[in-house]
Amino acid sequence: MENSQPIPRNSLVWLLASMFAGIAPHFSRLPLWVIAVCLLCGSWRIMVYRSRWKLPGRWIKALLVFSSFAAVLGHYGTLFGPDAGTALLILGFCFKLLETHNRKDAFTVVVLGFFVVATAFFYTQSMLSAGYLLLVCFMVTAALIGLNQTPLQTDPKRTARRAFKLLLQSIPLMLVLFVFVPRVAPLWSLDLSGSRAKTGLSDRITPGDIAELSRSPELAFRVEFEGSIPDTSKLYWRGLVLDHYDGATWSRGVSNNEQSLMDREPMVAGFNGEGIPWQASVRFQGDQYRYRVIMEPTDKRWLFALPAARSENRRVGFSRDFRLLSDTPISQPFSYSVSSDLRFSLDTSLPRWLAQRNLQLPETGNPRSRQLAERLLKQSKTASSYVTQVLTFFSEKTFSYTLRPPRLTGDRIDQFLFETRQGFCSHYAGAFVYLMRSAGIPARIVAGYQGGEINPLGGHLLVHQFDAHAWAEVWLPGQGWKRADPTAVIAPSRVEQGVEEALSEEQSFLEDSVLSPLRYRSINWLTQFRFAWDYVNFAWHRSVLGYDAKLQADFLSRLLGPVDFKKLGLIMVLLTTLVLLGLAGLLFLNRRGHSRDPLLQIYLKFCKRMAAKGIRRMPGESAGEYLQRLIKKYPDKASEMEELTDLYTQATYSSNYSSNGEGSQQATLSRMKRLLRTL
Amino acid sequence: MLNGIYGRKQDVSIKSIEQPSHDSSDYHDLINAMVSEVETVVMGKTHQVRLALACLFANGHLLIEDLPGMGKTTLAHTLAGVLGFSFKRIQFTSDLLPADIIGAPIFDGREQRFEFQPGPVFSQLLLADEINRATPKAQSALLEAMEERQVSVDGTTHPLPVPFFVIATQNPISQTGTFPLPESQLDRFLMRIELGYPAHEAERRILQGSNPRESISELKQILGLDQLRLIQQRVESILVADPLLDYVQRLVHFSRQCSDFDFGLSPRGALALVRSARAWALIEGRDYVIPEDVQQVLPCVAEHRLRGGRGHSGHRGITLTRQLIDAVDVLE
Repeated sequence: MENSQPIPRNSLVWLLASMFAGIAPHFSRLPLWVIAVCLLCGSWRIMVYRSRWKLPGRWIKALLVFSSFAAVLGHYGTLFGPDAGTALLILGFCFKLLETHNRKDAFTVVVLGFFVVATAFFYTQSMLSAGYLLLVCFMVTAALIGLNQTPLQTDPKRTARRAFKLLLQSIPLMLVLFVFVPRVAPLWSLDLSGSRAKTGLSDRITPGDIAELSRSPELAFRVEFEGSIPDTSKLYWRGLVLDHYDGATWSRGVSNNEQSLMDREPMVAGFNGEGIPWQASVRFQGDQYRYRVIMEPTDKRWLFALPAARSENRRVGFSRDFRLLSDTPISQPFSYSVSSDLRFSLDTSLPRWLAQRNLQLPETGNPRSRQLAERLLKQSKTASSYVTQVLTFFSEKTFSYTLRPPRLTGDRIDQFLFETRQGFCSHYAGAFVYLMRSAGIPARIVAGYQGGEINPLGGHLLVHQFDAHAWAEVWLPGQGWKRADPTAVIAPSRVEQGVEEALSEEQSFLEDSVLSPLRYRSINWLTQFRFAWDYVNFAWHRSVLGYDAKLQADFLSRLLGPVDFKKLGLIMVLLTTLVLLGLAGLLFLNRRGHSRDPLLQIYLKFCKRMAAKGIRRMPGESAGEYLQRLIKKYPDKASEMEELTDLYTQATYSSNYSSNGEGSQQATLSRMKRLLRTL
Repeated sequence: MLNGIYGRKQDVSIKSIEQPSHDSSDYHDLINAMVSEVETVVMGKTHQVRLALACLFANGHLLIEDLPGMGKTTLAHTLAGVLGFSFKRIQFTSDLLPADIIGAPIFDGREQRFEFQPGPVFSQLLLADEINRATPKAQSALLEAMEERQVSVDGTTHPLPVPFFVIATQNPISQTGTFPLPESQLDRFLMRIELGYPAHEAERRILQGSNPRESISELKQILGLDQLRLIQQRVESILVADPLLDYVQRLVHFSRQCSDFDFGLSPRGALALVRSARAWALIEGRDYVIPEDVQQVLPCVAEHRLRGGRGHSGHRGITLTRQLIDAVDVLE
């Protein structure tokens, strides 16, 4: 077909459909004017197809292109990077579709379409979106097939069927490439963080500021343990350490700018296998658990792990306060393996500067709390007995656990400890640390998640956003940092059974998320379904998204012994060939499989026998014509061949399949077989 | 097969098919008689004569395309004679008007009113000679009558006689001043045949014989109207088995898929193919259709409905239908 021919309707329909479907995932990210331009181009193209409007002229095209370049530059401040690049690509796709008037252009649009599909993976790689993008791929493929069809084929459904078949056939090849193509680290890195808001932990806690804490049912991360899972009450996932209090807010360090801290002290180390200067201050003492954390994107660098953790991952570093940190903000699902010793000692001797930081308090305020600290300190001989005293104070007084505490103002700690006495984890952690520091014991707030839910299908642990928790760490001489969780004293069920149980009286669990299946845990089938869905997602994350260079190397060496590039290439070529051969064979069988009519089978056998003797039946040759040729060559067998051909022709064409008498057909068949034997 | 066993004036028991017969061989003798009768005038064109008869039996119109002097008109005359049809002929010219074909209301002085004066189209067999010489206006008047089998003048509808059979001829070359029929109108003709030069022997006989026009007047009517109707009914009941329909659909599908064809056979074309194949099977004396029947009629049924792609212009029907026959597997 000539390249200058107009685009068939069939193809145009699919191109337009895939244009909208391909851009749809970007709708929420793109500036409004880009979407407007896309819609304009699409409708213009439709109007052109309906011969209402003309194709845009040269000047309009130039104007569109340059003004949109300028607008992208104006909007993003650059033409590069994933956001601006995606916008440019999408605009280019739309413009090309608009100006397309022959097949050659349309082929370009199809290729652009595949690229637009690929850009969506910058932003999301979930299973659902992959499925959706596969659908879009299918639509673009249909457009490609439509381009190669004659204009008379106007049934988009038939084109779709063919595209579907094509995609099905490509699956084995896709699998081979997925498994075997070497995973090379990208040559460039893209800043994908953007301005996407993520729910998750905040690095500032202001107890008493927000009157109510709303908690989302979203997943924070999954954990896959090698072996058993520790008790729920031991699952304290450390994420952040907050050691600065300004009278209202707990935050990280003196300044929020971590960089300036790092200048003063190498706070994070351990990336790419480099040494950790404060390694000596960590002592692992057994009760080891090994596990893999698969995190949802947070756009933050902090990672979550049980104390005391270490990770072999080259992208994971280790901070001075014994947290794991990633080298870049987590903008894609990220998995890392960790080993944690639940028996540990950290910082048995505390450097002076660290002790100072963890004793910091505002100069004034909260006099009653300071008095309380003094009083309790007098009653206790050692630091650890002071801790017990404070915890006993919490348990003896009428504190209660709630997600709807009253607001606090002024001397917040005083107000909380002596007046309201209602709060959730950060209130208790904050007050606890305040009391510790007032007594001269170094302490800090740790934020992270506590607990989790075991998915019985995958045997892995799900940690949701509502599992977010804050607790305290106290430094005790000779013992180092020890965890102290005042919330556990007030609401033991929070730590042992999770936040839902702790709030069972208040009924405030997930009250904002009416639609979340997590809210209806008592409905059994819904829970089953939720677990199943999570399991599928987990498998997707682990085996598809998590299939990185290391996993590939493990998998392949388990499969094939030691691997190198040469062997990989060879296997890839071999498997690809096998797949293609298999497909070819399938097509061949499919073609032959049609003739299941026994009459035809025998006749074809006859043709085959004759072909072996040198006279092959041409495809377009009817049985009669073939017979004439055969008789000319083998006049002595004329009568047999004639009878066989007659029997075949008559039995096939003188009655319908359905009305064939079983018996007479059998007779014909056996007669034909006898004749065939004589030939 | 026809191999000259039938004599010139052999009498066939025509009476044997006054009732609908289920044995196609009854029709076979009669048809052979007709063919040999036509052969006395149009010599050496057995295949074309049989195709023309098949076209008639399938109740379709026939287009004969050939050079001048090849016997187009003679064939049409002869068929009319053998069938005993009322026969009219229109010589198409560029100034022919629709009224010249379908007729016009004429003022009757005595009755003081307009009376419809039927045109030549009101005949059982109409020979439209050199149809491509007329303007599209005149052409479409005829083609409309062919399709509708009725004529509307001044709001009155006049049915055309039954049977109504059009044989049109056209001259494929020297197209100056002609208006070639567009595809849509070519589609109205069930078949398009070409006569071609006669074989050596047949030509000798033509040269030895008398003026064919004279022998036309001596022709003997073989077929009555009732018998024609019976034959046409019989054609309808010829069995088309599923494997054959499979084959036809493969042909049609190929013509639609293959890029050598600009466009494929329409469902109407496919229907025409099956109808013609039925008629051909009857002529062959069979009461079921076999692929050979389809292959025999395919060139004249399909070639004017197809057009080649890849820069082919005009009709390359023969090569295309040949390609179609060769490429599509009969059995599969």
